[in-house]
Amino acid sequence: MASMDLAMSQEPQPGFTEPVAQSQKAFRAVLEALSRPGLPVACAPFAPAPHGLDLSVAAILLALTDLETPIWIGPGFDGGVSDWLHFHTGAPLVADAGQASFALIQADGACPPLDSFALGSDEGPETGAMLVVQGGRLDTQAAMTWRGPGIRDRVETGSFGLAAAFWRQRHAQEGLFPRGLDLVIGCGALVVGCPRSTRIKLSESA
Amino acid sequence: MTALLDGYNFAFLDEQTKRMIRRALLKAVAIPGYQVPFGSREMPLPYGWGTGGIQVTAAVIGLDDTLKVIDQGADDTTNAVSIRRFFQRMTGVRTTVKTREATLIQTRHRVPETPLREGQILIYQVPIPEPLRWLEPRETETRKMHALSEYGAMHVKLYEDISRHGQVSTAYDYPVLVNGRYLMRSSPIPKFDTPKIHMCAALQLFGAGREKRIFAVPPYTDVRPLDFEDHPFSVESWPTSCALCGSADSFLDEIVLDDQGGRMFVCSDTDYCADRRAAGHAGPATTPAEVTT
Amino acid sequence: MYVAVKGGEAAIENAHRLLAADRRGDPSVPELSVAQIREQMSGAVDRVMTEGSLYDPDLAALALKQARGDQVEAIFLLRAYRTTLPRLAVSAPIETSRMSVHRRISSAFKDVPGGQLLGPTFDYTHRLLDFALLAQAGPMASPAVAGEASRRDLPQVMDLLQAEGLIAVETATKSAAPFDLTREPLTFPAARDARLQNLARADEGFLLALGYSTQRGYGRNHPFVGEIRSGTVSVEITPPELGFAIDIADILVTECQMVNQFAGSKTEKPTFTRGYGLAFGMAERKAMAMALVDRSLRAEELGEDVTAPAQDIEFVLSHSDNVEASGFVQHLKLPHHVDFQAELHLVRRMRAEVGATTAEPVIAEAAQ
Repeated sequence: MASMDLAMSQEPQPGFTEPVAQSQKAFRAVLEALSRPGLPVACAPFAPAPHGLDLSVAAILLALTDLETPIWIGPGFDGGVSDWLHFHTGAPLVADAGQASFALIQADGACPPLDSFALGSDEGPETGAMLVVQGGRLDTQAAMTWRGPGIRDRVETGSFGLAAAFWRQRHAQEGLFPRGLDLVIGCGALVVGCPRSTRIKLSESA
Repeated sequence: MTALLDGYNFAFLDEQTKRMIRRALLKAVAIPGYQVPFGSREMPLPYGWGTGGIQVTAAVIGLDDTLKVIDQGADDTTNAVSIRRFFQRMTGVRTTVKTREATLIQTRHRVPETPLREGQILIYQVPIPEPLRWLEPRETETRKMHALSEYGAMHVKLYEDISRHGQVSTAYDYPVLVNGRYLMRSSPIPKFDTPKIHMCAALQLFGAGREKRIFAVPPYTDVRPLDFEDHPFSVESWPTSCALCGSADSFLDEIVLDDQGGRMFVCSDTDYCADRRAAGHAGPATTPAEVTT
Repeated sequence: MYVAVKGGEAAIENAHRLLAADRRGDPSVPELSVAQIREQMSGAVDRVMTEGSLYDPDLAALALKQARGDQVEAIFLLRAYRTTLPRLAVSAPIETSRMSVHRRISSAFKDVPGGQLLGPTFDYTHRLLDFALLAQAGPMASPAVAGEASRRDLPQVMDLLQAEGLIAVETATKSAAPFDLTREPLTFPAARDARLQNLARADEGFLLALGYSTQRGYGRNHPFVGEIRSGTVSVEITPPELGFAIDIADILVTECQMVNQFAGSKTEKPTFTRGYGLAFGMAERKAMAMALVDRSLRAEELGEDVTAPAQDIEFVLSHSDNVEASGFVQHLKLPHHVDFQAELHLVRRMRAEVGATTAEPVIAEAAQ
């Protein structure tokens, strides 16, 4: 099969087939997701996604990264991901998570302490990184209550497959606002946003 | 129908520039009311004429969108016509004058009267984004003041207004506090429109091209005008209603009819006014015959 | 009966047609060609290229033609075009010491190695209208020293001072890539690379006035023209696949290096410092004004008191760009009736409240 040949060859797997339109669609999905925290938004402008990435995650990376956005890739990814991304976007890969403007982690994988990522400064909080989560899950079991901008009153969410310890760290960062991390959680062809402005309350059981 | 212009990228900007603006927009949404610096580009329209709003629209717009452009509330003011035509030539997207039909609304100086809904995006053209600019002209200082939430100077200014004039003498561009954290200029819209920013169902994006700043108010975000308990914020009201549609609760433009002091008042929001007339409402200056045409 | 203004699109299109007719002028007069503008209006072309940030004499001439000679409008046209261009390569810094010189003077020394070379200059012309130019196509006297009019490898006057240790040494910034304000927003405090780029694009009139103000005591810094040189330099790029520099263009530039006094401090000996100006084409008024302002903006880093407008980095850099300034000043032509209505509302209400307590003065004023 063609897909086998692709996987075997040295050629990077494909990116967007219509970069202008597909970038715009992926961006609008992230814009919507960060504007409406907790709300799953469709984000699948192209298929198939390469190297085991969620459709949404692949599209977001292609749409938002380039030469000017150092990217850090956490453990647990197919070795082809960084070559694929570099080939299509030119984004420089960095070894120090603190230098990255985009960081990619696995929902069920290891993640360095959240304060090892760039959080921005009080005068320039926009340099805080975007953390892109691969392999998130829309589980039904309520684990948290979110409040804040973009949320009408409050929203009950699951943990999206991320560990309770992760969310506890995320909660602890709320006091740093406007510094902080913006989370974009890929769940297959859907994406969920959790900007730094969202205030999280973990359920007792979590 | 305007022909699509050859030789330019969709929505004029190159993809690299769009990505830069898009990243700034995402940060703006994540930090409501904070002014994100961005590498604003020269546009084929002059700075001060909506280049910030145009760059934001160009970075956001897609073929599925329906665009509405207003200036002073009206779709037919010359600069609104010019900007709408620019996007027709550069994208070929559908345009509309109907607030309800639009997915993107680029505006200067007004928030439409028709309440916005979820999924819509309102894009403001902003001349001077810094709310503290008249109190402190230096960017180096105002950045520190925002970092420290040091907004006492603005309260003092408003209080001085009250002690001098008996009220806050700011009629438009009224300072608001976004999400309890960032002081923001309201674009400049008239005070009348300020409450519409609060808990709006639509996403609100603000672009200042010449000043190279982007900021945002996500949907359902707390946006409060600065005021005092004994001098609460209030908006304009008119002793009359719209001469064309009879609306008593919209922002009215004052039309000077002659040099004898003759005046009439009509809705600034032309789509809202037309909708009302189509629904059979009439004002004192409209004959029933005109309503039906 | 009032009818809301309609037909904006038709009005705009008609305005465009009127403008086109206006630009063409009397059709019985032959139309200007872009080549004529490029060759015979080179001063205008040079300014448009410099402030438009694009070295392209043909496009600058086209912009001037399209803008019917309006310089700021032509600069805007060129900038708006420039912003759509892809960045294919980054050149090495141009080497002005290897300039093929058309003009080169120093006012700090009577003579300098390589000599003073007056070149094509308005200096010492008597500004008398030359009515002979009214008649077209007169015979032109060819320059007396055409063969010698350009020279290469003239030593920089500043290097002579530097050899003696009399002028502060300028070193390249440590960061790998210089700041680029066409891609990043200017932030403050702005380093010298960002300042020089801003000044190079800055409105000539604005810089001229600011530079002049320093001469009149608003931030005085005792300037001497160390050297002005105009001529062609080569632009080189090093493609990664070649690994060596290749010459891709020759461009005409004017460079001005001002020598300014520096009183010294407790730790530093008195020395001279430098103000630097560079512009495309034969543009020495711009280059000189830029050099004066560059030096005055160094006040803070040299430990001088910052007291004058020309020393205020944020003030100067925020207001120097004529595309920004022209746009914002002229945006006042756009309708502002919503804000004005809000203001009218407020003023009437405040007047009514004042009138309620002090009726007479308000009536008296209203009657005026």
